[in-house]
Amino acid sequence: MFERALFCDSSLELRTRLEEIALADDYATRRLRDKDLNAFRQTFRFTAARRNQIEVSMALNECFAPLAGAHRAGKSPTFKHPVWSWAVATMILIVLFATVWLVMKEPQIVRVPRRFLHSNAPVIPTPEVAHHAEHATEPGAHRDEVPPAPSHEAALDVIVLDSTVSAENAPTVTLATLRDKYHLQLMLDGTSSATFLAELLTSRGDLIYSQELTTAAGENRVSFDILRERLVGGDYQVRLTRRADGNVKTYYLRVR
Amino acid sequence: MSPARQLKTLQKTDFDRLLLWLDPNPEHAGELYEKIRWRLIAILASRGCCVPEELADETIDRVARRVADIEATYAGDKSLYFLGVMNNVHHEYLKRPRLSELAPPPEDSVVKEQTYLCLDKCIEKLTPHAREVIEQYYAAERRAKINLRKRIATALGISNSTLRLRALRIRAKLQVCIERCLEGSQTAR
Repeated sequence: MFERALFCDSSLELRTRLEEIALADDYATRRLRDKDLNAFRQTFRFTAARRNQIEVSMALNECFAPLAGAHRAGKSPTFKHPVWSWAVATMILIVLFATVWLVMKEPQIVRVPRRFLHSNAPVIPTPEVAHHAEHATEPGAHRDEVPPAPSHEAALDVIVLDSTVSAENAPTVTLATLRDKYHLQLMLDGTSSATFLAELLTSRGDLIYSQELTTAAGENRVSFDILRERLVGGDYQVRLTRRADGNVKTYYLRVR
Repeated sequence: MSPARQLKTLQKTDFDRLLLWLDPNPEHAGELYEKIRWRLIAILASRGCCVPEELADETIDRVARRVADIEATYAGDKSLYFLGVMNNVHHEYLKRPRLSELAPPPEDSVVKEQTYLCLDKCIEKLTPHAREVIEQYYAAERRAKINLRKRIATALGISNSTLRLRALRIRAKLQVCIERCLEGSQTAR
């Protein structure tokens, strides 16, 4: 009956054509129910014209759906167009290559790897530049409750060394041009008060620096600063001798 | 040429005779031919046929070859003659052994990209009003789309169903434009 009517009635044919388009739209916007979706998949997509209708419906929805509520005066760019996908992918690749190139050109950007630093290493707060009035006591001058930091702390890295770490697994420090000094902390077994002699030696045994250190009761580490200019690339060791009994512990360090 | 091959190949003279039989005006005959082909495909697809275009073309070929015999005596709606032949073709198709269920061809990314380009071109060809209607009709998604369409219909002073019909008619024009554009790009490739 319908088939015969489709051949005789032009208006029915027109309505059927429009419903086909509406069906393609519903499919493209996933508004078909499961039952209809199955029927659609079984019967609708077997003609080239209908497949093209679905393509156009999808393209229309992708182009105009993001414009919800926006009344456009002119033509907006269609960012879901494949050309935009290529543009975004190219941009990501450029950024990626630029990052790799920058890291290769400026290796000092890479800081001391965290895994080589001891987990309970003290955290040095990021130095902040305070913009104070020249005379801080002047009325109305802005004052922040920031304790004055020692002048050297603005350029200091903390390196925590443990005597149980072997020379092969020694932490590696990459020399950064912006650092004046490195703060070496040597972990101790006990926490009793004692006096030590710390000696920084090269792998060949040449003495670079030595300092006498005293710990207060309850401290489990001793520390000293070493100027950056004293260090060059190579393997180092710190020999820590307890004055009271001559007990020696060795800490290893690698500098790049 | 084998008899089978001869049977399959439609002669140009047969096709010209078919168009002349449909309508003496070649332009009208072409339109009528397209309409009949579309109807055949729609019916065959609704019957669950996996190759509706192939069977529709086979139907047209058979009618074209028979026009010489029937044109003098046939009376009535000519397009209904196609329906009768199509039924025979479809019955024969159903009797054939099924090789395997054909799946629709996979998506072609080149065609997809070309569709976007053609869509841009065809939208440019629409009148400003038609373009606005189609852009707003396809804006928003799901529930928001329904609400938006109600607002557009109210703004235009028409009912929802009229807006839908109007948008679908513009969409049908876009479809024809895009199909022509795609045909043009395929011949250019």
